[in-house]
Amino acid sequence: MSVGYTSVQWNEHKKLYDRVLLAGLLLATGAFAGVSLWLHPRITAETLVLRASAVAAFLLLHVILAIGPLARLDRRFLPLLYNRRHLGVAMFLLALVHGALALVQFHALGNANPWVSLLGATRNDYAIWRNGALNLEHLPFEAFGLVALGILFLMAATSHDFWLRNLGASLWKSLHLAVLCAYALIVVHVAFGAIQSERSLAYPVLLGAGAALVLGLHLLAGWRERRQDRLRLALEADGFVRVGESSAIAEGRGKVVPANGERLALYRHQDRLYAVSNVCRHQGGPLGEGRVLDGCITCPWHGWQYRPQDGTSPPPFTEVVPTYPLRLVDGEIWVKPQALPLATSSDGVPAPPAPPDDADELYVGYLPVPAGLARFVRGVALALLVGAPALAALVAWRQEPFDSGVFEFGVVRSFEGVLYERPLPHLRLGGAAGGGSLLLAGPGKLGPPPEIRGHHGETMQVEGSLVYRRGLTMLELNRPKSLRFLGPAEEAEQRPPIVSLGTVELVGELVDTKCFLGVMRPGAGKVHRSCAVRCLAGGVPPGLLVRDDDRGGSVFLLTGDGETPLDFDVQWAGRTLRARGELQLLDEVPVLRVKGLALLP
Amino acid sequence: MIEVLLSAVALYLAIGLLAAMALHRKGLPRLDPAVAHAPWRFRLLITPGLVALWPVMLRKATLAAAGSDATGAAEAPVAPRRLRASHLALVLVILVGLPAAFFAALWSRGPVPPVAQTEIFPVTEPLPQVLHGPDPAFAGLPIQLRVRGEDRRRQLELEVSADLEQPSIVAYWRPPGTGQEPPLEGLFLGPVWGPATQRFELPGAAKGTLVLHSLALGHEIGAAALDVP
Repeated sequence: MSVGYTSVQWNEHKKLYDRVLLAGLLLATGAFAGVSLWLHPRITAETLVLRASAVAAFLLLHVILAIGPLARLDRRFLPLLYNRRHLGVAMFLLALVHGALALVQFHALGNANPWVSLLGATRNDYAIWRNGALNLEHLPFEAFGLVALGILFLMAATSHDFWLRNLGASLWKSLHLAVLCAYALIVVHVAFGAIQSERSLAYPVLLGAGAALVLGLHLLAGWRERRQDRLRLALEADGFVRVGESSAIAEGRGKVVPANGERLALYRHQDRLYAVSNVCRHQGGPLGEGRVLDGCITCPWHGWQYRPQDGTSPPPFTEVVPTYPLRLVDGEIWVKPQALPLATSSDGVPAPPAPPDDADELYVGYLPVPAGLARFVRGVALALLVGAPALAALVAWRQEPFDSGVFEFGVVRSFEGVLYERPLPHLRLGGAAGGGSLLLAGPGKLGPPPEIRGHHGETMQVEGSLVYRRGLTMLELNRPKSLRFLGPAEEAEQRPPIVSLGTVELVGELVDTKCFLGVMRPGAGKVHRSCAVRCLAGGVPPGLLVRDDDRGGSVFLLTGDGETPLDFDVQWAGRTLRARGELQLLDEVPVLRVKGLALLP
Repeated sequence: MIEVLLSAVALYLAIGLLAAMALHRKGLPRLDPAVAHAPWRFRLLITPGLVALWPVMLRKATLAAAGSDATGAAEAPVAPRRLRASHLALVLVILVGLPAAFFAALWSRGPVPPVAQTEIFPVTEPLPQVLHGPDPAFAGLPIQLRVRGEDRRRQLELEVSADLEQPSIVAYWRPPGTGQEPPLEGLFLGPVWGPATQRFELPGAAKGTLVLHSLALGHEIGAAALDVP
């Protein structure tokens, strides 16, 4: 509690809490990164950061969601509740890193607004019922993550006592209850996203176990609370209800009692009994589970204080909780569950002395931690510091292997060869007797620049960066000003004829060749699908990925048949197609001149 | 539709930014006097929330300017029973919906696309005799070289066990006595890639140098001298 606002009210407990939080995050992300780099050295830096931030954020979210019900079931977890908002903000920041990087990685540098691409790249697949059948396999997963991130942002942005005071506890608590919605959306995001591409059983098992743990804890805590709510007490004629024995309340201790729908807190202070609302004005903590410290009822959640005599906070603080009239009859406490006017002063009801009860230790953020609680909390912290990195390492270990492929990012080389626009734009190096073809693409998620049009068969000088994999090489023309055309090339007439291998029918996944050859890893599959749509829409040459047993596979470049351009829907990217046509070899590049292309269900 | 939605969100946030500035200037100190003396770090911290919740905060600031206590402090404390009921309802909805979505996602996982058809590309049959190799002739590359033969025919076989991770590799055969880089001297054999096995027939004895050259990089990446009659 405070009379003025600061950005963070630091104290030694919060600093220690945050140090442990930071250590946990570093250990978890370090474990993920270390195992990924060790077992999957081909992972790219962007994929590593994307996945590490997601795993760390998701693990942290489980911890955050478990703290609340655990604190209700076992009060020894209350110290973890104390600074939970720092966990929440840290989790949001990690999620933001993941979301921002995904937006840039998969949707920027293309031919559309990245936000439009994020929500609309695969918009056809929002229709989950199509042609009389359920179509869930291709349900876009990005939107679920985006909405969850929006909820987490609202929660992080309002994680300060300023908002608690000015929005009001009801609105604030309702807003923060939305964390459960965010959690559900993230589970769906993972289930329809990463898990569609990651085949290890570990992923659905971990995801399911995490959800079961969170929901199970909430149900257990909720069931216990509900039992208390259901208690109904007999009323006396003048509105008082009997709530218990005075000997059950020790000096300086409280007791939560139900009173016709709500809960009150009974306290004994200096052998006098008082009744106040059980609801702390801060975040609704259970005042009856606290203690009397310095003559004030102290909330066990964050240490807010109220005088038992009138429910007011000690000056200079101004919060007030309602008080209730009570009386003692033959050692039994009777309370009237209608609140007195706020700040009504009362001397309480004298009660016979009761034995002290020091069984429970109370944690308050601004006082030293009791020894027993400290031991317990250290044990929990240690378990988390070991468990979180272990889980992160497991997730990293079970990732699908990454395919080969090299993108010489930042390396610019010079080339001179003969440009051919047909059957698809490529630059041929070497001589007429023998050479190799470089497929052409533009920077980012774009196809070859328009400047090369109309120069078929001419010698071309250009600078660019190479992308290559399994014998296919692409040149990213990222220096358009370096383009020079030196006139028709003699060898264009002498080029070896393109080899035809006859008509074939192939089944495979539609990919964009630039990402697949090495710019992205993975460059295929559902998680990459939106990026593939963006690249194909921008003019990157399409390919059909036909997988072998080892799941590596061969890519066949797709072009139109003769003069007819290739007709396909870019939203087919990442989906399985059947393609029929004439297979040709353009030097080492297999090209399918498509006569028929169909999307498989 | 998506563009319209995004434009509406952008407009909302732009108004929010303006509203936040106005609130910092006048509205907040009227609403909550404790803000007046708060440090700039605090004001920075609450700005994202002001941008996101500007309709609520503007309304409260307007009420405060009219003399009402619009802070939440003036409202009744949270009603835990009602909140617990909402909490329970939300958990129950999630308890039903989440497993349904989870298992639906697992059930709808598509199969890996089917295996490729049997050999589409022309395969040069190996000559029956192995005259040389297997020989890891190219240091640092996952290639086993063999020379195969039958009668006077000679065939070079390159068994590439992994992606070479080099661009545009082609193979040249340099007979003895030629010392210059291809393509000025040498017989162009064809492209080389992995994982795959490529076979190239030689015009004569396997006496000379097999050169692997990267057309894209413009230099040799490996050479193997052979002397197989």
